[in-house]
Amino acid sequence: MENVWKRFRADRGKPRLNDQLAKIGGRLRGKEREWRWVLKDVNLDVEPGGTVGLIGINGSGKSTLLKVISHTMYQTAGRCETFGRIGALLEVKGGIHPLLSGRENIYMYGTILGLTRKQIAARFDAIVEFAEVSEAIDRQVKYYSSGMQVRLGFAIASHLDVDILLIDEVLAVGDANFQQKCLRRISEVVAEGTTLLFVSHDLAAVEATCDQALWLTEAVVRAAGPTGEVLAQYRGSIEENAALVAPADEKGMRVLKVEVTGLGGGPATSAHDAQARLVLSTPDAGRAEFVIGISQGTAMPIFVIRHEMSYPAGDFELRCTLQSLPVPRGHYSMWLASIDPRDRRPHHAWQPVGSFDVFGPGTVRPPQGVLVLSPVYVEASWDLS
Amino acid sequence: MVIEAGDVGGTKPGGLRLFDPSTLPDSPPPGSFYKHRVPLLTAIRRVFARREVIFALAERDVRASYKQAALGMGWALLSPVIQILLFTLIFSKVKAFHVNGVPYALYAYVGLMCWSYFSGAFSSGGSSIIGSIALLNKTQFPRECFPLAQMLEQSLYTFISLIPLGILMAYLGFLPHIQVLYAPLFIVIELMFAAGLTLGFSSLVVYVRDLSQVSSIITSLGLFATPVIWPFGKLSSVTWGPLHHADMRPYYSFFNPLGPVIDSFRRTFLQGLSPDWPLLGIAAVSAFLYFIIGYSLFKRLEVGFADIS
Repeated sequence: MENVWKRFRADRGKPRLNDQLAKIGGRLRGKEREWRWVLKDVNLDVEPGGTVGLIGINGSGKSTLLKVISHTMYQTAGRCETFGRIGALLEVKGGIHPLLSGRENIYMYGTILGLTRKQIAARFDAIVEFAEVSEAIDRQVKYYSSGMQVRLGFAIASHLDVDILLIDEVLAVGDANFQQKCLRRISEVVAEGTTLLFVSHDLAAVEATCDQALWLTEAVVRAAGPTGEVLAQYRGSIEENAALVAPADEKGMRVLKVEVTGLGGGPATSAHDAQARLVLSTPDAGRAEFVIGISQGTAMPIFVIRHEMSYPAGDFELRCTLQSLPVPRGHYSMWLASIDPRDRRPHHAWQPVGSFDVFGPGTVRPPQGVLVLSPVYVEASWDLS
Repeated sequence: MVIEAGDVGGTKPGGLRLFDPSTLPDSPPPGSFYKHRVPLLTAIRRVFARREVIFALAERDVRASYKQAALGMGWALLSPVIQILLFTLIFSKVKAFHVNGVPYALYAYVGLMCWSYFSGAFSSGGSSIIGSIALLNKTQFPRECFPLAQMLEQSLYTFISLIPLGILMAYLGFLPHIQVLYAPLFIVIELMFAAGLTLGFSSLVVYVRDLSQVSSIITSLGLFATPVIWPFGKLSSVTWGPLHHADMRPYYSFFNPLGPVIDSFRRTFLQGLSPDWPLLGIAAVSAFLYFIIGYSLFKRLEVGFADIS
């Protein structure tokens, strides 16, 4: 894929006759159509067997990119070439017909993907087994539970020996068990040499399946490279945005300074005691429950700690010692809330207040296809006898 | 695996590349715009390579549409029978529509079969693209497969309607004439015409949704504007306005190739005559043009299918 651009008509007004005539009139007078670019100059070169994760906020162009790659959409400019059969799982139930039985759907979808009946028959049992629909295979799909439909859709798409597999945010549906099963299946498919392009907001899933990642913001590639490093960039930007959208409290408590260091000065280090110092400013004295959280990338903290204390009016320093800091090397955000213990109203709403670096050992990469919820560092000693 | 960066930006150790969006131009370089030009022969070859898909789509539709009905495929038999009963009851009284030696029921049935095929293919094929958005957005076989599958499905129904025809012939004690062997020629003309209009229409509807309302008007008017219940020969001497016993058949044949096709079916199969070759020739040329123009339009417009639908 080289220098691909994609645009949509931005002037999608009402299709009413007078609007349309006005538009045609405008174009005759030499006015250019309004366009909205959804992909700008995207370059992507994936070798056979490579795995690429596409990340970015909603509307950044990830799904459009997959559609251009799968040739269901045509690019506006640039070149896009693919080799081999493409299996696109752009929506779990895509291509499944509700009136047909599970069996008919499997044959139907397989044929559309370019397999012969014989080839499908050879994979039929594996699909049924994976989807766990064996007793319902001759029932119409509309009588399936939504979980069964999802399983069938994924089973079909992932068992049809495609050369390129495109997956767009499908693991979000389905229960935890099924997600784990899907990830395992994806790893198997990748191990067989299939090229994988994976769109997800679940960064852990991207980390677990992809070697490389591409980060898109507003139609533009912001970063590309090894998954870990791209994700770090992306996480950093999410936290910046979270701080921006957090509500400003004019009257309540304000954070003036945040600092996290090792207990005796120096940098914070994994598995060593660390001290967080927050300088806060408040107009009135009072009592509050302080909640501090540490996060990396997402708005979901790795852990939170809380303590109730009285505080004076004016500026004061809040110190908190974190014993044996349980996070690996990396860049983290600190979140703070302070809540009035009587009426449970916040003096300071839950929002990121600062960031800090932790030194020490890095994360251990889990085996392919395994999700790690959040980076926690545990000192361990091993023994074999 | 390498992710190549075309744009300037910082490169950090470990292969991470960062890009600065502000260095991007507002629009791509003029020469790099994608032009969608597929020669028709290439397109036909691609469709042929994926013909399995047409069968699969048609099979899916047939299964799905009769699965819910208690009578199942029986409807494909029943609806032409009811229609022809109605036509015979109403129009067999009209002396002007009669042709010597041919029972009117048979005469009308042949016209009705040709017409039903076309109108069925045109109306279901015409809406096939907008009706298949879900699949269209996710799969990448040639887009022609959608309307062509509808045409195939319609062929099946037409084939089934041969059964009542056989029964009717047996009941009337009517034997087909040997000239029926010309039939494949007429079928090819009808298929080209139907394919051209269906392809062109199905792609236009994506852009102008109002057309989907127009298609039912076209098919219901067409039933009477095409020699289905009346003989084609009526057009050989038209007196209307400035026209005096004018032979409108050549003009009509060019505009609507179905006229000569139906007429030829009747002349050969029912009357034992040979087709009216000049008129059939006009119809063949016209059907071919319909096909080329409709198909070219389809290939031109297919670029935006996934964007707009």
